[in-house]
Amino acid sequence: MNNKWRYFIIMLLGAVMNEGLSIIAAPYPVWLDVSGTALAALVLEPAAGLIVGLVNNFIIAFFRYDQTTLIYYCVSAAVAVIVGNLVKNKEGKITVKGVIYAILLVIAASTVLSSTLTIWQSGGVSNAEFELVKFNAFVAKGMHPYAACILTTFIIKIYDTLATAVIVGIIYAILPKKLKYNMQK
Amino acid sequence: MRQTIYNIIKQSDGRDKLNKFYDYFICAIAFISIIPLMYKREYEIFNLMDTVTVYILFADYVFRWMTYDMRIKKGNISFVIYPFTPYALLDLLSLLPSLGMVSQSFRVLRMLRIFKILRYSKSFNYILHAFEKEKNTLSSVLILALGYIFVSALVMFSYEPETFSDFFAALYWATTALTTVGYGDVYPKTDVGRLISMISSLFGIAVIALPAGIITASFVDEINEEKEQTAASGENDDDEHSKIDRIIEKRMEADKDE
Repeated sequence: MNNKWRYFIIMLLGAVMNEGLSIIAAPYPVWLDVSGTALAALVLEPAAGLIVGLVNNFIIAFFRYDQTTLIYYCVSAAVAVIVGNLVKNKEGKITVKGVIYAILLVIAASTVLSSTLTIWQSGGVSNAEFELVKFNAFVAKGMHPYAACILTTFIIKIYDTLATAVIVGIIYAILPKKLKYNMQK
Repeated sequence: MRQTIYNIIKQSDGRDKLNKFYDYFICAIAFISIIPLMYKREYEIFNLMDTVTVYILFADYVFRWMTYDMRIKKGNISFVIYPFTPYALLDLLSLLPSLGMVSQSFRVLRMLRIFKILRYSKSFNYILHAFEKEKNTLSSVLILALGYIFVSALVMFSYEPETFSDFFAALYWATTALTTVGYGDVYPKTDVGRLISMISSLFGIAVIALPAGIITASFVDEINEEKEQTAASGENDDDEHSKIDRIIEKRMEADKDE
């Protein structure tokens, strides 16, 4: 398969996964909106993940929220860079160590970035309902709103990252070889 | 993939049409994005314009960041350097009000998007280089000018304290008088005060005019250097030798084909 087509198909799949899974996950306390970004970064390269993430953020900002959510792109960007650089070793093979490092780093980076942006924009009050429920529960227990925001984000990012890792792993496993590897090499 | 993106977004040298189109496109988007600032009233169309343009400018920022290593060729450290480069800082600052990261009272920061257009201007780059080259001289002149304004204000304030509400008003008078703006809302009332004003204005013109001369000289140097470089590299070289060279090259290519 032509490598350009391979890129196009994987990136399109990534964009569809991001949108589709985030809609499916709407009733649950997870986002799953970076699964396609992670897949594109894993199969192709971090730059492909960065583009898929950008498209995803545009769609989310345009159709669901507004342009102020565009800045959350840095979370997608962090996922693309971490997954694209850590999961595979130099020979291009996925390693368990790489996957574990990537999961831990994604949880840490996305918690720091997301909570910092939420605190900066709205003093810690998220515009996602499931986050707001947890946040209000922590605040009701007497926690400072900033700490409540960080803790809420951290807990949700653990579920979210683990669920994303499982989904990306399954999709990667069932992906045809001609899409997984560059056959033109 | 990054190479393709870089080839499109890098500053055009006029050879690639897509690359040239992208330059014009970004300039147009940057200009459209600042149009709402020219109106007092908020129209619905302005919100749409802001939304669309901020998406495009944000994507442009991301593309430039992810390909910066190709531009400066310093490896992975380029990605750390990029957000702190002057143009990246200006781009980010200009986007912050639309991204909800600063309050709407800072929406004037959007005006900085004009630098997106200016970065494509050769003349603007000459001026930037001129400032860079003469930064030590300009700093000295600036310190001299500020010192002179301060002394003039101090002399006037101590001689005519009733004319100025406070020292800041005296500084304001000195600045507007020495830069020859002179709004006329604050002025000396006594004869000695007027004499001080006349003397300080005469010296002030010389001090204030100095930077203009330095920048102009450096600007002309920049243009001349560019001309010399262009001549040395042989661009626009239509002399007989280059024409003959081209004919020989074409014949050799034709021979190879045969």
